[in-house]
Amino acid sequence: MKSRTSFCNGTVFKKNLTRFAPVWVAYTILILLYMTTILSLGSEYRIAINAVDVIPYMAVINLLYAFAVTVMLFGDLFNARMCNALHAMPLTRECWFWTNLLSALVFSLVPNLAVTIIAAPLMGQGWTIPLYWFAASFMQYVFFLGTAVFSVMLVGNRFAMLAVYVLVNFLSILAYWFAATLYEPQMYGVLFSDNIYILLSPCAQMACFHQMVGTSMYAWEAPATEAGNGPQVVFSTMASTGERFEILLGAGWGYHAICLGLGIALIFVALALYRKRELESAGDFIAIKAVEPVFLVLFTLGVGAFFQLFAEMFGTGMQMLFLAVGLVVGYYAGRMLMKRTTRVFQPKALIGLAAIGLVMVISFGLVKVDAFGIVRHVPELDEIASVTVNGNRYVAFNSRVIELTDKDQIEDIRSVHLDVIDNREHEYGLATGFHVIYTLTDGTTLERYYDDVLVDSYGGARLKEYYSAPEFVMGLEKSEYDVFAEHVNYFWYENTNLDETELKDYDMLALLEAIAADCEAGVMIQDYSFQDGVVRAGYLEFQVEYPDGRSDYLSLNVYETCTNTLLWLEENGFDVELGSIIGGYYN
Amino acid sequence: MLEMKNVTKTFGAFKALDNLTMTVPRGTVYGLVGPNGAGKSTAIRHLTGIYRPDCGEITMEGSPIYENPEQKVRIGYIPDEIFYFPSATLEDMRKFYAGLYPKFDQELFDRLYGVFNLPPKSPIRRFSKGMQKQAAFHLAICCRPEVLILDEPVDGLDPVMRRQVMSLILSDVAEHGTTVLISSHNLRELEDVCDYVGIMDQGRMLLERSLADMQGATHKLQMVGDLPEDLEVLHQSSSGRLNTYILRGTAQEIADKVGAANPVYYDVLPLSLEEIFIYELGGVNYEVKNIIL
Repeated sequence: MKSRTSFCNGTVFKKNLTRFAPVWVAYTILILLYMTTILSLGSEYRIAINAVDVIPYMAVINLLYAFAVTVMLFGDLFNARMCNALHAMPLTRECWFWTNLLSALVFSLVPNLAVTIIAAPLMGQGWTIPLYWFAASFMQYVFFLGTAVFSVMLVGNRFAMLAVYVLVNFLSILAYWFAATLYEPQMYGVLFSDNIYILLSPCAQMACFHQMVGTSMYAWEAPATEAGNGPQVVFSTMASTGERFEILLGAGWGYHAICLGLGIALIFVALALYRKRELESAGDFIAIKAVEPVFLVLFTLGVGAFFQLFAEMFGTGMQMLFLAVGLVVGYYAGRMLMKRTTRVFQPKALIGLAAIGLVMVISFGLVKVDAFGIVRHVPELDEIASVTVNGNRYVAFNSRVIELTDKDQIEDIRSVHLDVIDNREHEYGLATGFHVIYTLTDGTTLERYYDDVLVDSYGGARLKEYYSAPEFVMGLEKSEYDVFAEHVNYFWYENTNLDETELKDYDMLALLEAIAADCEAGVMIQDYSFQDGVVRAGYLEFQVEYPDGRSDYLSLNVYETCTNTLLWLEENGFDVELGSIIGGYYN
Repeated sequence: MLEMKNVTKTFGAFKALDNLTMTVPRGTVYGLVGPNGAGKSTAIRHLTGIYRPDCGEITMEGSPIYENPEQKVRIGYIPDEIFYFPSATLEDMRKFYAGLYPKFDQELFDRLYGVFNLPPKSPIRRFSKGMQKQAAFHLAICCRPEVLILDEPVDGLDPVMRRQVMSLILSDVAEHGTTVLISSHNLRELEDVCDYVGIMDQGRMLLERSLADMQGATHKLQMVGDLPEDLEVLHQSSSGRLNTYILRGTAQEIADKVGAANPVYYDVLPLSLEEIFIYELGGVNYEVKNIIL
């Protein structure tokens, strides 16, 4: 007799909907609150601007929701009793899989669609933003669902599911962290760019992790502005809602579409794994034997890197020792998790640990001797289109940037770079920073940062010239002085504050020229390392508001040697008092 | 009906089933016995299509069971560890089972409320272990399966309920010709209900035979006097002048041969299932006494 089973089972589907109703109802309420909050903000333009604070979090919500939904629907595979009983029933694995998957899709699709249909007319703000949001959210959800279902099929219990889900979604970031923690410090001056790692981590990309931190958040060059105190979205009023939304997504529609495709592919991989799965693996840490070595290696390296980071945080100076201990701990802890026993110290197990250790030693050795020439690599002159130089890569605020396109200057920077590399084992002394970004003729960039260039070395002497230049110190070209001076609306010198009205009595252009003259004389350099033993004579600050809405801010230390600036201050009635000596940075 | 041919299953380095072959004839009550760890539950999980064998075949009337809903829908299964959805009531589970088993008998389900006296609207997880077992019977029997597979079915039931459940199974066999496979490590419990018995140890089938064959082929003889020489003795013990023999042969054959020797006293007695296994297997290096509780 033929059973009532097929591709999808209605009884199981209904059971899923009713059994987990509290979860998807809670999700519905959450996104309804989100949607109505955003739509209540007024104009479409403003909605789009403010949505930036919310939309990235939808990726995080979908990341968590997809995990919860998957554990609910497929978690029976982790419980031997449930797993056996359900699989004795007259349904194929395909039927279980597709029924649960359909339920998982409905858990997101229906709440999002319902909220869109309810919220858009209710709030009277049109359909565009809600529909864009709906589409983006659903694409994100399918991706995370794919990774979650894939993770479920690899493991045998909930803890492992969480670990593997995090690993799958953040593998590239973890790899970056690992590389940055262990290898970057061994590679003098080399900076591992985090862009590629974030790009390969859809959650981070879609949730704008890189925009949630740092001052460059939401920067997008366009004429129209939205003023405020916090990080801003700045985009053109001419941009369509769709274009604006794409910016707000943090990752564009193309990226979302790729993630959607990847999610669907992972769903089919998960089905293939489910077909192969041995149900007796319920409760095991890893359900697929072939994955065990991969997990063990990643777990071992992760624990090793964590130990090394721990040593670094507390400045023990024994990072390598901690790394070695971490690798051993991670290896045996990983084996304990997988074997579900503490009896994992058999001599045979040493082979795996030795293999990991050997690979680490070899890789460290190759990095240390710069076997691939990465550390020593400086682009040839004809490969370089331009060079950007600054003193401190972390503090863009007080450290202006200069971009050089002149071949002689580029060659000069190359010579500094080569000198820094050649003299990296230099002695203890006053040092400055050297952050250089080469833009190559093929459009790629090469970035290096050295924070230990001795000020009295060849490189230090050459850099002093660049760091003293007016455009570097002030961030202004000479042609911009008059516009800048005209629109200064606040000025501070020590205890004196002048507003826009009071500033009319002062010649700001003359002040800028006096500062520029001190720069030319090499005494206005802001890097403390070059001012060792020099007495500070106060602190200048300018705030500028341009008519097009842009604003600027300039702050400068003034030293006893800045005669032109001090003369302007004294002539304009400011009380100049000499302060204390500012120390430099010693490497 | 149900057949396992040369089935092997390993869990890591542990061989749970070792070239296991067993046959459950249609319409019989088959007792699968063996000590803990013998592989009974593993064999049952193969017969219910849960586990995939490393090698070998598991079929029902020639069709594979694994991933075959058409065969699985004919099987009712009560596992050793009962499963219900958390917070599900008996009525919830009824709907679930009714949706999956087309022959689910709603009328019988209502009638069985009178037998088991289980509350229909209370969460099953709040039931006692025995009540949960009853609920499992309640559901499984109403699926109207052609094959009922029961793994340690009466564990946790009180003696009255054990008897009631067993009689329910036997009446189902009588009325519908249901084939029943019962696993247990207690031979005494199975003796009254089984037609066929298979005994397992270390993943292998040690012996598989009908109960009638076993009981008809081996007997206990108590006698005072000399035993005729042409009888096959499996075991012998003495208490004073009274000798007790376990002999291979029918009761009539033994009585005829012993009677012809004119002993002072003799009596031919049937063996219990437990005694048969002990004496049948005592000679083939199996510590049967240790594996039958």
